[in-house]
Amino acid sequence: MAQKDLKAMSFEEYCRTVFDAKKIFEKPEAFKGYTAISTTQYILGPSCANYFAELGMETIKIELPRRGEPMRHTTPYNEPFLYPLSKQMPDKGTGLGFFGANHNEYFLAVDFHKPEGVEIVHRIQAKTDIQAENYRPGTFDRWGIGYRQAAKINPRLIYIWMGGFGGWGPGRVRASYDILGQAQGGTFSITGMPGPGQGHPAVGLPSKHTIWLADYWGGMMGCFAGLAALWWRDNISGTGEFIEYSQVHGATRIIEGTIPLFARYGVVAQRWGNWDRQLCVHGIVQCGKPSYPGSKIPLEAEPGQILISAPEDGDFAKLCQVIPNLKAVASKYAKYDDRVQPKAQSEIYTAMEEWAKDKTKEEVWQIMEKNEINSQPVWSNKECSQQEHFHLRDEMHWLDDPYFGDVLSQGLAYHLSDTPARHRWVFKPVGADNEYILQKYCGYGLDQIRELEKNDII
Amino acid sequence: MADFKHCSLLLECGKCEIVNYLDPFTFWFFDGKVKCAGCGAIWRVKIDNGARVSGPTEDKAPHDKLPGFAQSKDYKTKITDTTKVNPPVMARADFVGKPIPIYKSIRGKPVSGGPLKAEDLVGSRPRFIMEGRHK
Amino acid sequence: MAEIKSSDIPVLPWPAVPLMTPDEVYKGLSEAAREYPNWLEANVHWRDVGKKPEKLSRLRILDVTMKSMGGHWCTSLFAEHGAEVIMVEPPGGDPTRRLTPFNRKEWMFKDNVTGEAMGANFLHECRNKFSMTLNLETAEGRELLKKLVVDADILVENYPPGQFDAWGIGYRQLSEINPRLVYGWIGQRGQWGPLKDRPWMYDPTGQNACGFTHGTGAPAAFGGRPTRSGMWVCDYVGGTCLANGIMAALNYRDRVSGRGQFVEATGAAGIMRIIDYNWGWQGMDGSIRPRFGNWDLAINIYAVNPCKDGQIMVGGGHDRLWYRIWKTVGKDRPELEQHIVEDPALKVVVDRLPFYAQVETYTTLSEWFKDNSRLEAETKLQAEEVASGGVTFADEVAEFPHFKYRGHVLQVDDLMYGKVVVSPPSQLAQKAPPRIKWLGRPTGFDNEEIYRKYFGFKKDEIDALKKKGTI
Repeated sequence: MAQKDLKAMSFEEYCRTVFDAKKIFEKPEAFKGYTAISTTQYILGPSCANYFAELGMETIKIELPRRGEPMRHTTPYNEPFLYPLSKQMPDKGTGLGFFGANHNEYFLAVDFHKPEGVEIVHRIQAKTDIQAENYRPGTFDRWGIGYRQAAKINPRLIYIWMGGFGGWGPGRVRASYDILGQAQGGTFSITGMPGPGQGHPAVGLPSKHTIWLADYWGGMMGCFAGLAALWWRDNISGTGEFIEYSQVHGATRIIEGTIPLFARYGVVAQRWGNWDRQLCVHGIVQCGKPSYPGSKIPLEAEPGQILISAPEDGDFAKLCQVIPNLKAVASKYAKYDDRVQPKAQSEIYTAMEEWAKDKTKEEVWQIMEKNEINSQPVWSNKECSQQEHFHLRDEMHWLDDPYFGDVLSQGLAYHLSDTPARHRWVFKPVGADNEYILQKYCGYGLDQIRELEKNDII
Repeated sequence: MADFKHCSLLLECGKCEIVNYLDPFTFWFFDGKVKCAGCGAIWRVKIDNGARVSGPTEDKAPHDKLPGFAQSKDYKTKITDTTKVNPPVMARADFVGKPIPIYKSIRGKPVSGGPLKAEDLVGSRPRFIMEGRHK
Repeated sequence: MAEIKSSDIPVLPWPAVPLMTPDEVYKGLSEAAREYPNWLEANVHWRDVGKKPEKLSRLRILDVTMKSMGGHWCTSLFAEHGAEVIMVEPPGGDPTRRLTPFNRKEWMFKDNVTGEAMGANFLHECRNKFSMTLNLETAEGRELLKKLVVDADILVENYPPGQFDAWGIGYRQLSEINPRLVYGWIGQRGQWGPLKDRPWMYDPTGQNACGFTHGTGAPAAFGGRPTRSGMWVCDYVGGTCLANGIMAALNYRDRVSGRGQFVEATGAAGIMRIIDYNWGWQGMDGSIRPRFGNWDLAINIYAVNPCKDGQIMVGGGHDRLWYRIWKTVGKDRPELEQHIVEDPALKVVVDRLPFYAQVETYTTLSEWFKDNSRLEAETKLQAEEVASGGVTFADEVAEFPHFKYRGHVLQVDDLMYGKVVVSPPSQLAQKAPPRIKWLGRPTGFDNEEIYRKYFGFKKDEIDALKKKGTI
């Protein structure tokens, strides 16, 4: 019956049915019964383990007792926090920097510098499928809880070490952060407004991706390797695996053909602002009017911007009909080959910005929509969070969080029709699941747990 | 107290001795007039790749740019008046820059965004959430 | 067919500076300290990948994407891990093949068999893949695709929303032919919902829709404006998300259900998932994430600032590193160190976060940077164990000793494309590592083989299809 309905309905309806966010909890999880350990801090390692947790693995985050990992103390402008930090510190909060990399996890606080702590970690490792770790290379090995020790306890364990420069090679002792990865890996060099005299209206320096890209996306790359290793283990080899991921390397992987272009032709790619090196028209156009002129928030009072995309010859011809200012260059740049040259781009976008001078981004968007030309205004996180689209698709959601109440959280990055990922809670206080985890994985009773608490092990 | 006479980006006003911070993003390449946040004197400086190549020499209004921030050398006067220095980058109009207690989300439902006391907790959860008062 | 020999293909000398030897790298280290890096080198080094098995070599993937890089990126991850990836391209090839910056055709890569030119970006994501051509706009072409799907594990497409379904080759129809098929769709905003994609939307549509562009770039006070990524970052992030979703579906299929499923990922959702605290912050007090240039809203010092010969990153979010950074500065410019450490407003970590505290910090720091090149500043800071590194450009990335030693940039001596330096898979593994086996294929290079191998066509049948424009 249901099958027949699915076949008869329109494609849109079909998608809304199979990806229905309201039905997510009625469907099975991809990794029911799997266990993951997250001995991680900051974002790179935590985000990797978080993707496991979304897919249904019971993910145990092991932090140091009381204050937890450093990211708990990081929040924009030091303003918003979620309370309590831990049972012992109800008046301290966890910063929003902790958002996005710790959903669904169980929080165990263990001081693994101490032998009792090492014992706890070993007992959990014995029953674990996959572990993400991002301490300095060799640290866990020295403490006796690294891959080499864990593999003896549990040869099926998949162990992902993630970090800055990797554990071997000339830079192995260097510390790394997200923006260092971005800087050293090369993503800065091609992002941002060009230097002076390049024919671009805005001038600037090489820029970072403002999100912690090398961390969060690096976590995804680690996650892929981990899921592939699980598939290989469960279907083919039966054995665990050690994976090393360097975020600085990740940043060189993502800069496209920049490396081959240099090594063969000596071309050092530079930044090209809000336009596109390879397509034209396909750039962000500065509008003249702000969308919220009366706003007290300075950002909202700035004039808006919109991407206008008409890269193919037919699209461009249509665009020239819509934007009168383009008529002068319409025939000159009718062909893609001519249009994509830097000088042409400069002329075309200048004419378009002239046209958009007396318009808001919404007005331009409306005109483009009416004429079926691809476009997308530059939205702030406020505008974005008001889109029904993203809420409907569960890409952003209000979570009724069992610990913190009403929080707006990022949702799911991918939709699976049969075994969707899901978010249950954003995170929990430090050591919130001590009893549950120690009982389930270590076989400790209440007295033992109280003893460990007394001795500052947990 | 430090001497900033030979600094490029820390411009010590020759008149009022206020230190004007010429932030690197605005002033790294700069040839023009900057207005002292302390006394309003106009200084012409030329900064090339972060290094001051000429100036400061006094000049006439109008100025080209305001400094990013300014304070006295003894830290007692801090100038953050946005008519005298560049405006801060704000996330909200009423942004304060220190921990703020938040008990309601923007759609008006309770959220645990403020300090709690031990008696506010049940285990490690805020009592009001345990009791379902946030619904 | 152009007669080009591999030796004729112009190649700049690489590496210009030879690789370091292990003795140089680990000079002065005790045996005990060398033990762990040595174990790593013995277990994950790139030179040994050819001796080891591949994780996904039993999977077959049809990459039916075009005009964009998201799908190609996604299938690259599988191809690196050994899956058989077949790019199903329209006759004439995916137009992305011909994209080269500013249409500079002299910067393209030619193979030595057909002489067809391919852009650098496409070449980078063509690794380990096969290319066949098939005209999906013809009914016959679609029938052929259905036959190919019978034995495929994964199909990835990025056509306009509902296009494949209307053609009778969407997930609804293909899953009847092959219930084990995992079917992935990738786009910018989505294939359903009020903002669903128009035909052929490209990155940076997703970047703008998810709040990324708005929050990136320098603040207005610094003369900045919202800034897009210089790459098609939504394609890459979205493609990685799709790959993870597919991998989860495969695990479930082969362990539990035996059935494939429909997977969708978009660039916008991919970045929204990883855009830090934007949503939590907006939901708590209505904040709009402001642009903050190369500085950071939540950590001071954690920024990139200009220096004598470019820009340099330095990071230290807590007291220990804070004082080490200023100690380093103080060695050259004691007055700057003195000024900062004396300032009562900067004594406590969290007090350093407000905007004007950051302006004070970074202006003072840049006063020291201006006299130091990236290398000088980096060396001095690293002597105090502070994380720092210069903003590097392609030439420096390609010659960075650490990258060369670890194979983060690697010269592949390809049978068809000659010597090309690329960035190989970034995950290293002990037992079954990903790798690059070949760089790519010209359009439809594998037609002959694939149509014989999977369809049993004879030479004359293939020629007839070619003549009709079906392949």
